[in-house]
Amino acid sequence: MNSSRPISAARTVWLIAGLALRRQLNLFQSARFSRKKQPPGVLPHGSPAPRSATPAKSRGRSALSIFVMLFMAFNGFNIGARGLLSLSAASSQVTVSPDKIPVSASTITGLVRAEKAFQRAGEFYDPVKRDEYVGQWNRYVDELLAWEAGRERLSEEDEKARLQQLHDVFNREGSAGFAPRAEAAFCVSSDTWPREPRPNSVFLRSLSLIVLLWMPFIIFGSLGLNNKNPGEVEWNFEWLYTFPASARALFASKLFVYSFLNPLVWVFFLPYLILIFVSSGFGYTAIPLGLAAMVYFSILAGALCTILEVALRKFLSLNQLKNIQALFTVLGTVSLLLIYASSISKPLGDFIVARAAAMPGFLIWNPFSLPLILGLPSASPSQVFLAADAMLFIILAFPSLALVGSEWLTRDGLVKAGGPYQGTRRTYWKTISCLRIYLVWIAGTTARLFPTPRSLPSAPASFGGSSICPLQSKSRSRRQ
Amino acid sequence: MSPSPNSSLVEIQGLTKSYGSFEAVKDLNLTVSYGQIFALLGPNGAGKTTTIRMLMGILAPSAGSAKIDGLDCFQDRVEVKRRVGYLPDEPIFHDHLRESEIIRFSGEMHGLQREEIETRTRALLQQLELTDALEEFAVNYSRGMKKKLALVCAMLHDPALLILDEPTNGLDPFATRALHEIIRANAAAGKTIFFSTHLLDQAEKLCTQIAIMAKGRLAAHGTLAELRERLTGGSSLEEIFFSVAGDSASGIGQ
Repeated sequence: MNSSRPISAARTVWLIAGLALRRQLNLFQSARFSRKKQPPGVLPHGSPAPRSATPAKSRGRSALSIFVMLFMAFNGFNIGARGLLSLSAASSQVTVSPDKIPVSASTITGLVRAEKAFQRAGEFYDPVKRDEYVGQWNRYVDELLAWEAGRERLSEEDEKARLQQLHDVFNREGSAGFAPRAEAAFCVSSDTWPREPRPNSVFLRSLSLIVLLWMPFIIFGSLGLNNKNPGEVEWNFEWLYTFPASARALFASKLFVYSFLNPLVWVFFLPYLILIFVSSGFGYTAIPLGLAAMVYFSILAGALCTILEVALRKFLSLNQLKNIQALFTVLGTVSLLLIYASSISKPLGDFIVARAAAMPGFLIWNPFSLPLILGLPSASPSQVFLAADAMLFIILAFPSLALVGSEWLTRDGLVKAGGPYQGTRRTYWKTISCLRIYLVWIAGTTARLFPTPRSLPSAPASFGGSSICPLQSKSRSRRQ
Repeated sequence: MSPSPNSSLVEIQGLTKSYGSFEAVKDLNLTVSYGQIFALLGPNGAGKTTTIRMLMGILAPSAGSAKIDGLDCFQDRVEVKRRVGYLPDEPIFHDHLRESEIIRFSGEMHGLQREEIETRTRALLQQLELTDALEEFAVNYSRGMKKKLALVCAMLHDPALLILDEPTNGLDPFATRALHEIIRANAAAGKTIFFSTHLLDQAEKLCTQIAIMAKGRLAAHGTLAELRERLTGGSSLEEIFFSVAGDSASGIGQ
């Protein structure tokens, strides 16, 4: 009688993680576009037909999810590369004097040639030949500047104004009134991370802001998009709680699953991290470094997801949980869209770089930016050592705090009340009130973090790749 | 665990669960001896599931204690769960897991070897007609199928105590009969069955001990014969139930 034998915490984590992985694999395995048809009522091994009353869930959705995953993995690399290249270009531009007009390098070369040609015009004694010579070079300059104004794809009126501005600057200052525009390269390479001190630092800070956008996507996406747990009447975790395993082992397994079996991280975030290390010149070593950085970020996100899920499940009613899950789904999706928009939209990319340039340098030493310091090409050994030490501390502290916090939250039971009474039978009104006040504070702070109302409206307009940008035309016409 | 006749396997003393001013379970006192089939009856919202959740350590009592085999259900919940097989009212499994995978996982969480798990489940699966669905995903299961699967998982480690929350909810008559046979066979093998139910005839047919809860309080407790004698003078369990549950606030039958 009673043949249950105790199992270790590590074995518990192993079994639960294995089960979660099996579930993910089953999801993919079930996504077959067609199945080998069997004669009705006969299975391959001769056993009787399976029960048929309850229809199997649609497999089409799973097939679609595989396609979407593959597509997103490709997109992860593509958008990550575009984002890094545009950030690099924008960061390189921060050292250029604002008085100079950025134009392409070939235009600068042409203007320098024209300038020299105009200086040589005095060598002509025949005024007719001189006028002819100057006229030829004037036409050349007209063509150059018209091409430059035209490539900005402004409205007809703005283009004329821009052309006039270019002419005025050239007539006044010559080629010295222009500066070469940093052109985005085609693919990420070791040249992507700017090496000059100021652009180097701005690029690092810009990356840290983008990574800060990835974290809400991973955390809210895990809790909202990739998890139907919060909205369920019964919590899956209650099932695990009925097994003879300690609460700490169960929470550790939850943390492990959140950290390492989250497809969102593997599909979206890993490509981005690998590309960051490629851009800082690590070559093929970028792959293990990207993986290590992903492990670090995943553990941080997993720890936050674990304690957040336990706290929400503990304090909120089912209706509130469903609303929260919907909110998380929206927040996760918006974060992803912002990341994508920052890659595609130049104004949003420029906005992030401008914010990063104004950001105090010490803010880079936050838990979510430390792996980037390891990738910094100009990082000193002491900086790398300090960052590595801090990462080691954080990677131990976050999960430990999450486990201790989850245990503390469930010190009087896994749930306050089960089933339909979940969250409606409360004993801690003060805690609920504090949580509400805190949520309102977060909402207020988030709202304040959306500054410069002039900047953001341009982002949606340019998200789809459209070059129509009212902000751009306004700012340039202001120079006239 | 060494079962000795007339010793208590489940001891509940002054068990209370309150949510603010609302008391879901109030001062519950119960003992269940080894080898008994014990039914916890009561109308909806009587506190049966809350009591069972406290026995499983999922909910912490506000006052009093619940012990299984001398172990505190909340403080020693890991050890308690090794001794208990639990069938919840609404079994929840991770979706997109096959029946075989769920059973294997349940067994492995109890430290059983795969061969052991297969040997133990074979007969049960046949009895509950689950053999054909071994490779189906639990997400496609009906409520009754989930219940049967949860029962198999609860019995895998051969526990001394089976706690069944509304075990026949969602089961067809064949499965209900199979479940009754399983309960009787387990009781005959010296195991203790603690179950909650709404079905009075089921309790009448199976149980050696009955407790009736109403509005969080224990309204009556004893064998069917004792209840008949004490409360209504030889009437059916249905009449006993209505008379006790209908007047629970006064605490009759104690």
